[in-house]
Amino acid sequence: MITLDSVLRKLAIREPRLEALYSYFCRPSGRKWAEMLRERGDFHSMGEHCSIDRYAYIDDRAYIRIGNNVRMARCYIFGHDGSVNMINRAFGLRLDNVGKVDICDNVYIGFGAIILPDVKIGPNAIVSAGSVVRSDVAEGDVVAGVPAKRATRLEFSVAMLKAKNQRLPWRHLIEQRALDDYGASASEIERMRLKYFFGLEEEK
Amino acid sequence: MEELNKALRGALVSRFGVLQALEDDTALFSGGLMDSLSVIELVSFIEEQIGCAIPPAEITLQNFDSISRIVRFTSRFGANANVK
Repeated sequence: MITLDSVLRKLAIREPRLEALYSYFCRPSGRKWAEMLRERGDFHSMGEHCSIDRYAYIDDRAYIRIGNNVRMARCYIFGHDGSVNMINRAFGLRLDNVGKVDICDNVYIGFGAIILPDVKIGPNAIVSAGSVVRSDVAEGDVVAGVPAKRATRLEFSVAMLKAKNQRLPWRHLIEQRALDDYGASASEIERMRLKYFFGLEEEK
Repeated sequence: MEELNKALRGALVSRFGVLQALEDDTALFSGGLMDSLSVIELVSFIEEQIGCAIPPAEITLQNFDSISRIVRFTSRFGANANVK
């Protein structure tokens, strides 16, 4: 069946300048946006089960390698340092300053994070919101800050999340969901959250 | 290692705000008593106590999720460990 979504998606794959139409009219999820980028072959390579916010700013895509289960919020990724152009003119030089960005399996990049060229991230790592990553992020690290530094280890974040989830009244509904299915029981979960957060049944 | 056990118990209360009664095997992180972001500060404290740097790859729940695990792990540093 031909839908607006399928037509605009095909156009976005055929002509990158038209991706804004797909984004604006179809508002694709991060999973769908990532699949479109993968099909278009923007990146050096890209694994499976990825999600990329459609407003993430990703430059120099040919120099970016993305593993499996990489999730990006609205972040910024660069494969070059533009200051080299100023340096070249100022000092009469002919220098290059381009590098690869290697994002391994199971990496989350938070909102507003900036990834500079010549870095490897992960596997099994989190770049916290607002971080500026200018050197490698070790396997299993959670980094934060400017410049990004180790804040904890992912294993500890997972343990804390598990402990926190034990206390959630809607935990049984979350556990019934399939992976990446955020629609199942959504209204019931929202109702329980509101009651838990504010102590009252919210009236719509 | 008795000194480390005592120092840890003191720090968990005074620096990390763990107010519950602690057994040696009480799960600190997986039990939800400590925030995951505290682990790096905890490791720094232990490094100060034993006078050795702990490699990042060794910062695991297996080594740091309870007082007994921490004491057992740091005993590996043996003669190099200099408990303050």
